[in-house]
Amino acid sequence: MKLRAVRLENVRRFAGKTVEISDIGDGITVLSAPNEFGKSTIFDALHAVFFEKFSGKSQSIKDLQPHSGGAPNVRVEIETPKGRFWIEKQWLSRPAARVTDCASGRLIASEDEAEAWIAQIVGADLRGPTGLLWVRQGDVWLDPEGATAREKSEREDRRRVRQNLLNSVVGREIDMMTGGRRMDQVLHRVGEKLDLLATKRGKPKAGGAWAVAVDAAAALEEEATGLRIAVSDLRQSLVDRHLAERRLAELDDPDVIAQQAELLARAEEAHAAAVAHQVRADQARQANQVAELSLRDVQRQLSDFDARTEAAKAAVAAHSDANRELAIAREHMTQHQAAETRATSKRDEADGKAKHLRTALDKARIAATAQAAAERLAALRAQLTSAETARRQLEEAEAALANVRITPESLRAAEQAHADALSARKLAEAQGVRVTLQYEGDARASFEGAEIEPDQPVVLREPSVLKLPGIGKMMLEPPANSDTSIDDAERALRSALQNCAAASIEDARVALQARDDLRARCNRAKDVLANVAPKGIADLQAACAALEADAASAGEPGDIADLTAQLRRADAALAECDGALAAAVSLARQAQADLARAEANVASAENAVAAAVLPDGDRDALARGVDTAEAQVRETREAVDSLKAQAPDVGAAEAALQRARSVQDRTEKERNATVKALAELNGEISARASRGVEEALADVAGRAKAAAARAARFEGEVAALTLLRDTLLAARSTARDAYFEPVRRTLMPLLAMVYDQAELVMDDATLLPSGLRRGGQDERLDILSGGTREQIAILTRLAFAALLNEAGQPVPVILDDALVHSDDDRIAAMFNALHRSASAQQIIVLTCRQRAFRDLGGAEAQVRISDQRDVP
Amino acid sequence: MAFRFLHTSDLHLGKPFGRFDEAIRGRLREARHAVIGRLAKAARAAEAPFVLLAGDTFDAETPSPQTLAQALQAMAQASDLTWVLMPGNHDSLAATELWRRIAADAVPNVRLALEPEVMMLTPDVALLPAPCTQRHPGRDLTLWMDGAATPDGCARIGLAHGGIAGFDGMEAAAIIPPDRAEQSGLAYLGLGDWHGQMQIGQRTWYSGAPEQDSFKHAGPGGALIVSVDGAQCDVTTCPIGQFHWQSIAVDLLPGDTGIDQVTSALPHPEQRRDSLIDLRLRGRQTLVERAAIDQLCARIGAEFGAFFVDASELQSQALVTDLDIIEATGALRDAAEALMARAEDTGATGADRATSAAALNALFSIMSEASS
Repeated sequence: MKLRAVRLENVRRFAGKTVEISDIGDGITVLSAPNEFGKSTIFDALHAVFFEKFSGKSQSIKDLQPHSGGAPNVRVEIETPKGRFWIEKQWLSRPAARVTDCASGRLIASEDEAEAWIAQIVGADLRGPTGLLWVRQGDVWLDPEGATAREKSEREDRRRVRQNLLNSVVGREIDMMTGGRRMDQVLHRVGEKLDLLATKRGKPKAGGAWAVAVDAAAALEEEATGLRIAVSDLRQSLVDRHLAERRLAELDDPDVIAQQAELLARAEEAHAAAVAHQVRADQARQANQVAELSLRDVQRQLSDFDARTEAAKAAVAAHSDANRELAIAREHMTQHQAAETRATSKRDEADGKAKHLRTALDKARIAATAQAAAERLAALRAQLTSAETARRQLEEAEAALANVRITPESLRAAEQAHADALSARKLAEAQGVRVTLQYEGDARASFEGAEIEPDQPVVLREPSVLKLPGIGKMMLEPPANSDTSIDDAERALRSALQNCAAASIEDARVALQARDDLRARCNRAKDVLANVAPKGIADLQAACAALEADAASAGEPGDIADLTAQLRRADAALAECDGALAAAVSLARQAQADLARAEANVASAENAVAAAVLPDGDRDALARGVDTAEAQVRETREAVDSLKAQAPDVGAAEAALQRARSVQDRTEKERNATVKALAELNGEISARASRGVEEALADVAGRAKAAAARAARFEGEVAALTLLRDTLLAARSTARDAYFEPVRRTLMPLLAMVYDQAELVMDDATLLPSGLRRGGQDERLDILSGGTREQIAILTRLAFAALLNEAGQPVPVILDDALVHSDDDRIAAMFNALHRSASAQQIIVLTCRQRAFRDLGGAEAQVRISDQRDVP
Repeated sequence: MAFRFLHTSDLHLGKPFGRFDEAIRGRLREARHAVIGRLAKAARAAEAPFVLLAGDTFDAETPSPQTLAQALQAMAQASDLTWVLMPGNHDSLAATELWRRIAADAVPNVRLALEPEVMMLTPDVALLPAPCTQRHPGRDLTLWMDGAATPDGCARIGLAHGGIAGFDGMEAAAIIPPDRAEQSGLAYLGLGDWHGQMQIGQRTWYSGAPEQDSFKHAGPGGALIVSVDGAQCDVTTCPIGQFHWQSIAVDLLPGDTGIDQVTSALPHPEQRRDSLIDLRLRGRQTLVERAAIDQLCARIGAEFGAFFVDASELQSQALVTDLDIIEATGALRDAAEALMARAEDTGATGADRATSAAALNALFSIMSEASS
C-alpha cells in the first residue's frame, strides 16, 4: 500500500476548510511547515482513516472534530497492486466509510465492509503493523513506556504485531526456537542443582555437598598424614627395638663375656710380671749405685792422699817462689817510685813554664788592648776636637746669621730700587748740567763745600753755585725740571738698603754674599758634627772618658802570636808530663800492690808451709781398695744391663690392661644403655600400639579415598551440569540469533550507516532491541541518550517496514516531527538511512524543522488549503 | 586314625573398611570378629579339634588392643579347640610387638607357630609351619620342610602363606612351588594369602578368607575341613562368611530391558542386607533406558549393605524418540543433539565424552521430571 493523496475536511483546526495533499510519490515525501500549521492534525486524520472505525466515538475521534462542530471527513487515496482506491471516512455526524475504485469510480465497499477492506489492506486488524511504523510527534521510542492499562495493552498489541511479523518471516515462533519457558525451567533447574554444589566460578560452594566432600577428603588426608607419621614412627621403633635386642643378645653372649674376661686376666698377669721385673731392675740399679759410690769414696781417699802429699811439696816450693817474687816486687817498687818522682819534677817544670807563658801572654794581651784603647782614645779626642771646633763655628756662624737682616728678597728689592735710582739719576743727569773741571793749578773748585775732582764730571740738576777760588762763584742753572722722581727713587733706594742693613747696593750685595757664606759655614759645621759626633759631643766625651782608664794602663805589648804558640807547646809538654806522671803513678801503685801481694803470698806460703803436713797411712792399701771397688761396680753394672735387656714393656702391658678393662667397661655401659633404650622403646611401642595407629591409618586412608571419590563424583556432576547449562545457553543464543536474523539482516545495513561497528541486541520478550553492542560492550538502550534511542527506534521501524515489504504487506512509514534529539552529523546519517530505505519504501516525513530537514531531500508535499465550499 | 582339623587363613581382623559408609563399616568389622565364633562352630561340627590359621589373622602388624584382646578372648572361649596361629605377610614375624603381646597373653589353647620347626600337634601329627619373616620375605619359606625330620609314621602337615609359583592372579613374588606337598612328603599343605578358596594340587589348598573383604573373590568366605590319615588327606569345604561380596557386570544394548537384567543379576531381596554389590554397567542404553536404570539403582541401592554402580562403560544412546521427549525442535533439542554429538565424538577424550553423556542424562532427567 502506498499513499497517493490525502484530503481533510472539517478536521480540528481546519474547521470549514479542506486540506489536500496530492501526488504523493514513492520514496520520501516531506511536509515541512512551521508549528501550528496542522501537521499533527493531518497525521491524526490519516491514523484515524486506517485505525478508527467510522462508527467510533472515542476521544481520539472527538479530538478530530473542530470546536465549531461538524463532521470530520478524511479521504485518502491509496495504491495497491490491485489498483488505486479512495478510502473515505466521516465520523460523528452522518458517519460513513467508503472505498471507491479511483479508476472507475466504482464503490468497492461501504460502512462495515469498507472497514473490513481497510483492515485487510493494513494488516490483520486495526492495530496492525502501521502502528509500528507511524511515529507520532514526541513518540520517540518504539513502544509506549508507561504503566497504564492502555499503554500496557498497546505494548502487548505491538509486540504481537512484531511477533506475527517475525513469525511470518521466519516461519516459526520464537519460543519454539529458543525453548521458551521450558528452556527457562530447565536452565532454572540446572542452575538450582549447580547452586547447591558450586559457586558462580565453579568452585565448591561452602556448605554444599561438594565442598563438604572436598573438605572431608582434605581433613581425612591430613589425619592420614599424621597417622602415617605415627605408623612410620612405630615401625622405626620396632626396627630400633629389634636392633637393640639383637645387640643386647650379642652383648650378653657368654662366649664374648668369657673372651673379654680372659683378655683381662691375661693383661693383668702380664702387667704384674712387668711390674715385678721392674722392681728387680730397680734393686740392681741401686746396688750398682752403691758400688759406684764406694768406688768414688776410695778413689777420693787415694786422690786425697796424693793431693796432700803434693800440697806439702807445693807449699814449700810456693814459699820459695813467693820470697823470690817479693824481692822482685820490692825492686819494682823502688824503680817505679823513682820514676814517679822524676815524672813529677818534670811535670812541675813543664807546668811552671806553661804558667809563665800564660802570664806573659795575658800581659801582652792586656797591653795590646790598652794600646788599641789609646789609639781609639786619640782618634776620639781628634773627633771631639773637630766636633767642638765645628760646634763653635756653627755657633759663631749662627750668631752672625742672627745679625744679618738681608735676604735675597730684600736684596732683590734693593737691586730694583737701585736700578730705579740709577734710571732716575741717569734721567736727571740727562736733564742736568755736566760740569767737568780741568785744573791748571792747585786751585780747586768746590761745590757745596767739597772739592770737585779734576776730570770728574759733576752733574747738576738744580741751580747750584760752584765756588771757584780765585775766580769767584759760578752760578749754574740747569733747565728747570722736577726732581721729585729721583728723590723718590733715592728714598726708595735708601729704604730698600735700610731693609738690607746696607749703606749701598754694593754693601747689600756683599752682605747677602756674607749671609750665604755664613749659611754655608753653618751647614758645613753641621755636616762635621753629624759625621764626627753622630750621637753628640757628650757621647764622644763619655767614650773618651771610658777609654782613658784602659789607655792609661798600657804597657809594652809583646808578640802575642809567638807567645800563643809557645804556650800551646808548653801545654802539650805539660799534658805529656801529666800522662807520664799518671803512668808512673799507676806503675808505682801497681808495684806497691804487687809488693803487698807478694808479701801476702810470702805470708801465705809461710802459713801453707806451716800447715802442710804429709798424710799418714798406706797408699798401696788405698790403691787396692780402689781396684776392689771397681770390680764391684763392673759386676753390678752387668747385672743392671742384663735386667734391662730382659725388661718387658710395662707401658704396653698397662695399655693392654687398660684396653681390656675399657672393653669390659664399654660393654657394660653399652649394655646398660641398650637396656635403657629398650625400656624406652618398649614404652613408645606400647603407647603407639595401644592407639592402634595402623588400623586407624587404614581406616582413615580408606575414608579419605572414599571422600575423594565422592568429591570427584560431585566434580563430575558439576562439570556435567556446567556443560549442560553452557550448551543450553549457547543453543538458546543460536536460536535467538536465527529468529532475529531477518531483523538483523534488514537493520544492520541501516545501523552501519549511523554507527560504526555496532549491532543491536534483541530481547526475546519485547522482540525489540534491548541494547547496543559496540566494541564488544553491551550498552542498555534505556541508558543511552535520547538522540541515540530515537535513531535506533526509527532504524528499527525501517527494518520492520522492510520486513513487512518482504511479507507482501508494504506500509508507508510516517514520521511526525521525528529526530528532534539528533545532532547534525547523526541527522545527516539518518537522512542517508532514510534514503536507503526509501528505495523500496514510501516514507512520509512531517516536520516543523524546515531548515534542518531541507537537506533530507525527497519530494516536497504540496498542501492546498481551501474553504470547504471551494472543493468540487 | 584320621586327624581332622579346620584350615583357614586371612581373617584380617581389625580391617577398618574406611571407604565404606559408617553403617556398613561397623557391620563388616563386627562380622570379621564374629568369624572366630563361626569357625569354632564349624570345627566343632566337623569334630576337628584344631584350627590352623595360615597367616594374616590380623590385618595390621600392630592391631589395636581391642582387636587383639577380643580376638584372643574369642579363641580362648572356644577352649575345646586348639588354635594354631602362624604369621602371614600382614602379621609377619617383623610384627614383633603383635606376637610378643599374644605370647604375653599366653592363652592356653592358642599355640603360636613362629619358627620354621616341627611342631607336634599330637604324637602322630607334626605341623611344619613356614611363618612369614617379613611382609615380603623374597624367598621360599617352605624350603625347610624338605629336610625336616619328623618321627616315623607321623603325618606331616605343612602350613604356609604366600603365592604359588606359576598360577595366574598370584603376586609376582609368588614362589612356593606347587608341588611342595609332594616334594616334602606332606600329607597336606594348607596355604593362606589368596582370599578365594582354591585347590592347587591333590594335597594343597588355599582355604580362602572365611569372611571376604573385597569384590576380588566371588561368593561368601569359607573354610576347609581337612582329614589326614597317614599320607592321605580328605578336604571338604564349609561356608563361613556372613557377607556376600559380589562384583556384577551387566552388558546392555538398546532395546534390552535393562531394569530386568540388572534386577535378575542382583541377589534376592532377603539376601541384600548382607550383600555388597559392585555393579558394572556396560554397553549402550537409550536415554529412557538409562534413566530407568538410574532410577532403579537409586531406589534399590539402599537395600544392600553397600551398593556401588560403575556406569563409566555404559554409553547413552539417544534415539530420536528420546530426544523428542526432551523437545522435538528448538534450542533444547539443539542442545541435546550437541551433547549427544560430543558424547559420541571419538576424537574427544574419555573424560569429555563422559561429561557430555552425563550432561545429556541430566537434561533428560530434568525434562522427565518436568514432564512428570
